[in-house]
Amino acid sequence: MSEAVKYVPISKEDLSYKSVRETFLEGLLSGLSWLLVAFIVAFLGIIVVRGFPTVSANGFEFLYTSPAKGLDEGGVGPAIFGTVALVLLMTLFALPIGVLTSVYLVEYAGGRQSSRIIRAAVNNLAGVPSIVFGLFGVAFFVLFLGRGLDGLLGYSTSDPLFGKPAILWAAATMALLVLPIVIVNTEEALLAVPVSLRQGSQALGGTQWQTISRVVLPQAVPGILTGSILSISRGAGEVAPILFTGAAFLLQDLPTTQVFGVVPFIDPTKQFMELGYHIFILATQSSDVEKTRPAQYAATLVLLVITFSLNFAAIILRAQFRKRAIR
Amino acid sequence: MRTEQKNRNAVNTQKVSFFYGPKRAIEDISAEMPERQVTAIIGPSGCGKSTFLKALNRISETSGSSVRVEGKIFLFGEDIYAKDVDVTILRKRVGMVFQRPNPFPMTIFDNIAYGPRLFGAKGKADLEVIVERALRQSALWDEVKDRLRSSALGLSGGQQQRMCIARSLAVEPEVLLMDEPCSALDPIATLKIEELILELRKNLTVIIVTHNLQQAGRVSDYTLFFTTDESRIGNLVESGPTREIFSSPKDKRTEDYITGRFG
Amino acid sequence: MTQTTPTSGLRSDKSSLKYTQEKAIENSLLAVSTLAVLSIALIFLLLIYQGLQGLTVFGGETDLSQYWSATIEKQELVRNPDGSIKTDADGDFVYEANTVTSYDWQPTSSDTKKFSLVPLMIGSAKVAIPAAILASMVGLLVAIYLSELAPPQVREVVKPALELLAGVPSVVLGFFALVTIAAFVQWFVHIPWVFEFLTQTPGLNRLMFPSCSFEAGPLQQTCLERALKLGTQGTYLNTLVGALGVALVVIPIVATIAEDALRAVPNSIRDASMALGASRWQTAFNAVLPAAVSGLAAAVILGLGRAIGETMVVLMATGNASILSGNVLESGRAITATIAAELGEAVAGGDHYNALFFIGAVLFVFTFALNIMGEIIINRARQKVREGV
Repeated sequence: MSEAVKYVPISKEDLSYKSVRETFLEGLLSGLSWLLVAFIVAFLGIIVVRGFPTVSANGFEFLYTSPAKGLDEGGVGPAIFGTVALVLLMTLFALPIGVLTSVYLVEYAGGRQSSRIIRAAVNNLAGVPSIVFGLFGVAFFVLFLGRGLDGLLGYSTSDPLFGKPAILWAAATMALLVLPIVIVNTEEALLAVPVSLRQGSQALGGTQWQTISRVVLPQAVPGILTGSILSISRGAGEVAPILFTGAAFLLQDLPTTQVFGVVPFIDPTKQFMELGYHIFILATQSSDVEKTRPAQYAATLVLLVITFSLNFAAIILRAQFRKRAIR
Repeated sequence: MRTEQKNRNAVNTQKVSFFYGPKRAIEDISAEMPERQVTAIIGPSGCGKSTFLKALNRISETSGSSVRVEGKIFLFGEDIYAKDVDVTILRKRVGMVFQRPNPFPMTIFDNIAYGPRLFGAKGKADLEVIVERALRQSALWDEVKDRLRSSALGLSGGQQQRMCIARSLAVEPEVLLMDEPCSALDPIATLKIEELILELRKNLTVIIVTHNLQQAGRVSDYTLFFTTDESRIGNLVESGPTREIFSSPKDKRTEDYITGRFG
Repeated sequence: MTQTTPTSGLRSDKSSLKYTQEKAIENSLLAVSTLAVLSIALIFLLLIYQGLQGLTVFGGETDLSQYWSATIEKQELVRNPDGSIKTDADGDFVYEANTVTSYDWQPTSSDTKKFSLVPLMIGSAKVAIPAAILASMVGLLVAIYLSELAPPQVREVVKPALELLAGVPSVVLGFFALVTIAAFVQWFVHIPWVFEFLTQTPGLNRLMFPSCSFEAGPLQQTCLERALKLGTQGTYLNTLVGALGVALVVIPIVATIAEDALRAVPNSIRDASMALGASRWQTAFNAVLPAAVSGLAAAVILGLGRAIGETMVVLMATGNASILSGNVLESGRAITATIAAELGEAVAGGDHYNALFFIGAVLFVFTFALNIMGEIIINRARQKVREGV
């Protein structure tokens, strides 16, 4: 631009230095992006290729058999059960609290300073390292609440009922970890409901709760569902918070109890095996790490399938929801 | 126009000021809106017409931001900002139609039945009667009677707005506030709404904010003219029967506004 | 209407069902959100309380200096003036007891327990900083490409791939780092010219392998080769492997936040630039990037916070030896991995337990500060966009 303005032909065959450099840079950036994609595909591919034979051997018995011979053989049945039980309990804690909290924050405490502070705290909670949640779980749930309950119920510290790592405390810890996910997604869903609909309802004499329950919440359900699925997926994949709050190396029993002699219920005071923790143990602590490699790949594949199918469901739901919100 | 001039007032206000946070939007409005007539509120943009209208059923309190009203607003002599007033009863008696149609994402039937259900109407037969009556009142019945169970979002803009009027009528309000109800509609839909307004005043009081002077002239019996000064605070310049305001405005600003638009 | 309200009157019966129900719902919602807020506050308070407990390791004395260094007695080899090791008449090495300053993390050592945070901080830094640098480069470039330059068809492939990566649990990435990335790094540093470059470049080898920083010769060569075999117990896990694994965790985070920041730049800025004849590239780099720069900075900061806080990848892939070495090809023990590896064995209420809570609190405060910083920057940027830049 330093020289005098001159006629520049508007044509495609511009071989100036500028255009060559841009083509080069564009190639570099798109190359980088595609490299990343290729890497992700390769990474997932390796796990599928290495893991699938073990998973599918003998009619998929890997999925329902228990580990045998220490951890050297057998499947991940109890770990899958434990993971499902963990996220069930976790959802039970996190979902109602998270959804109701966001309803209060958005619909009742809308513009108040306090709600802004709470929102900032929630956002920051999302950035706290997961191992810190593990620390909190041990100190608060296991030692403080658990031992406190034992004290009240008359159990000693040598033979505790609650004052030890258990699926209950692991789920509670995990619930705190996913609480921000539930709250943020629910808030987004509630805020996406147009103000005009709320005013339409209130102009007809609807009370606040009538408006929320009949107009706002029905609209927000897909968004809330998205948030809960994402949090379940996160809960299924996290390991650090449950390291000390309930996950076990190897257990012969499932964390269940018989009620009325028939139906197995989750026993909240028992420890449990969990898929992510199982992968960690297999890969770093088993007696012969190389020998259990196929099982490690297989367990990883199972965990990935679980989390991906949950994420996939959430993405589809969200797309549907966004489409509706735009309209 | 109307011969019966001695109507009592449905709504009257005394020295009403309205604040968004610390900012004053309108100042010292004292106005009267007679019963069973159409009162039009006109004035340039930003003069606080809508703000004033939204204070009349206290819908402005739902926006989430902090708002405050000074002065008094009476509905048939009762102070609507008195301490123990139940806003839901107020809003049931003072209905509102918004600038853009805001149908709920439900069926047409459920939209109309929404209000009655809030106040305890349950029986299917009862509701069907109410819905049909409201739709007939808003001249929409013939257009939608075959698709009451389909989504209200499938209606055209004009139909949606008339359905919103029907929805308001279903709770049998005494006053109906309309906030530029035709600003999002085409001329034909606008005409239909105007016909509807003229029909409605037989039974209830209508207070309509409009940008469109011709519309005010066509549908209203009584007019309030708002304007704003350099301080951006809206105030009431002149009020009176529409014919007088339009033919012989007392205030220079009213005259400028009306002739400017007509000229 | 089945229930009519009186045509006159605006009051309702305060004891009516509808009224009490409304109040009850509001109050219970308030109660639940108070519970949620309290539990958040509790996390903050408990960690700080436990962290303060950690300050009183060593017999109840408040002593912060122990987390920096400890003074211990140590048997050391005696050297002759010429630098060779002194031997006595029988040819045995001579030792003498010296008082030295130790920067060790040995919380369960049999004689003096040592709680220096120095090796842990070095470990965390060796993982988090390379990971954050790599992830920021890749994440930002991909975000710029996706938001400004990529054709929609490319976006539709790259974006879901990133989301897929974001959904991978960190234990899986840790496993992948442990098995595949470690093997890759091992192979890479043994490519002859890489090996040569790393070991023969004067300066570089001292920087990378300070433990072998003696005069060039066969001894140093052996030392370097040993060092390249990578660390303790014949494993080839080191902080570089950990950093690469953590980068995989951080890339989608940086890319997502950065893309959001770029998309928040109003199109009017792009239009204005294009209308002056700028190409898409010139528009992206001269008009859009400056407008989004604070958002991009926030992406990097939040990415760094995530890298410091990452646990499973670090625990599985860095080898976890608490050594004083700046070499990324040697093992390292990060703060997160230390907590994860040791809390299970620490006795509740004991020195070790309290010390772990103290480092947990340090970690928490540090990541929290980074998050707040990122949050503030993002909010400022949003405000700027809202007010029209």
